[in-house]
Amino acid sequence: MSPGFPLFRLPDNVVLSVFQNVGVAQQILLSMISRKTKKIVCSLNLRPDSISLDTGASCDLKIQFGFVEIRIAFEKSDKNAEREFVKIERPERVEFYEKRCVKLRRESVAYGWVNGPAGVRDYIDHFMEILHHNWIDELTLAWNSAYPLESIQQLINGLEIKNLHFTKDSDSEDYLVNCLNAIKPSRSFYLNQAPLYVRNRTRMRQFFIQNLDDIFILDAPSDDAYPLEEIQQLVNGLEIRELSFSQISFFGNLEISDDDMMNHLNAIRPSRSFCLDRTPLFVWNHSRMSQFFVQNLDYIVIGNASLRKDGTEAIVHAKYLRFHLILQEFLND
Amino acid sequence: MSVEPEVPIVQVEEVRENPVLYKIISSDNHVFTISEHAVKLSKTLWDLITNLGLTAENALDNPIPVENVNGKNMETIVQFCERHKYDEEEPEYTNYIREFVLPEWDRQLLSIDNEELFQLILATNYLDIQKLMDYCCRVIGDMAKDKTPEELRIIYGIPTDAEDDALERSASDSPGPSG
Repeated sequence: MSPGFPLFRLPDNVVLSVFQNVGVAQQILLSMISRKTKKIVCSLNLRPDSISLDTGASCDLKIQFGFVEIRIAFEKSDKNAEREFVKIERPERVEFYEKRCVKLRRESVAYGWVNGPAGVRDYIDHFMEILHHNWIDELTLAWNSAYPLESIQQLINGLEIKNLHFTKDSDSEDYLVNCLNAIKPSRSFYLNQAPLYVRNRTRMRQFFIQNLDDIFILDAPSDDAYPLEEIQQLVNGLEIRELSFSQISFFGNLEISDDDMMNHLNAIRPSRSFCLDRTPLFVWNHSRMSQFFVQNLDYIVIGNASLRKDGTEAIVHAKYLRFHLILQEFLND
Repeated sequence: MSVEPEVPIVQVEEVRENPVLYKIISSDNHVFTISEHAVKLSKTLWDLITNLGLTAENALDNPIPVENVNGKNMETIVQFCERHKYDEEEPEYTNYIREFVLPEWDRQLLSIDNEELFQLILATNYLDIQKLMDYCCRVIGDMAKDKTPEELRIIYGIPTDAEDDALERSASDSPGPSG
């Protein structure tokens, strides 16, 4: 007998059981070895929470399974190559990482991976097939991405892109429009650190190509923020399912008053939820918060918790639920 | 010709708790006694006992021959079943990873070489002992921890697609049982 373990000399039901008893990273790695192992991994019916693609300096595919994140980085070996000539169809090097949470600590493992003749799209198709997930939850484009838009478009051709994010300022409105038209996200479009010109509502209006799930207001309201009236005109006629506020001071210096929040709610009228991220603790006052249930919202999210209309705590987002579980576990220790 | 057992009969220290004991004879004629609660962990053995109509009165007079399992593996299996006979039933797993930690006692029990582990798994599969099968599979699964695909291929002896194809071709070319 060889020094290894003769797995495939075992009955099929036992082989399947072994595959069920390895970690999700190993299951994914095993699927890459042969057609037979791929078929077995397919039969495990793995369902990730999300798959995202980040096209920055390298092309990263991230697969989230609860507390486990698998990241596959596709890199060209020649990092000095001129960006205009970098193509991502066939990576020179593929790296495989796993981040996991062990006893409330994050740990990361890097796996070596020798690349075969496959291209990035071949890998994406492979993962989509074994994970039964035929869409990209989030595509992140960096303004200074190493990859031309045409390459990215080819890479995701035929796949639904739910959310599109930009991570850096773009000084070209045409570039943003081109990206949006090329990618056509089905749910949301997110501009981080957007340049000032996006404050021009008539020009911004073109980005609202369809109903969006979420409108996210950063640092609002303040002198630099987008005026409420303009937001209202921007979203006029569109259904906005969620309204989120972020970056509100955690230390008591509120940059937004109850009245401001109420004004935004009444103006935008989200159909499903209202999310207050990083709000100070005192908003956790049911009688004060109840005023925000001005319409038929499913829930309101405050930092790490969610409230129903009757003031009871709601469990609506998996990420919040997990946070509660960790916290509970921690308190029990 | 009868073969004398090479190892003494394994006496299980559970008589006080459960007086019902069964005798099992392994393929190499080693005799083991096992308590009723423990033997229930093996679906195959328990079905056999039920079908043979063995009772507390006649169980020890009617040893059960198990021709597919040798004495060494049977000893491990009996130890395991006695250890876990009062365990609560595990909930069905629904997630993509089986969430359990292999207890240290069981890890020690299963710290055997690959050939022995292979034979033990075949025996466990034959006797249909789900918990021991899960634990054995976890031990094999742990071999994959932090390994690269190429290392996984070597550790598990996974054939390449070309090797699988060649094997399939040779299987289809070879004459069947009739000819």
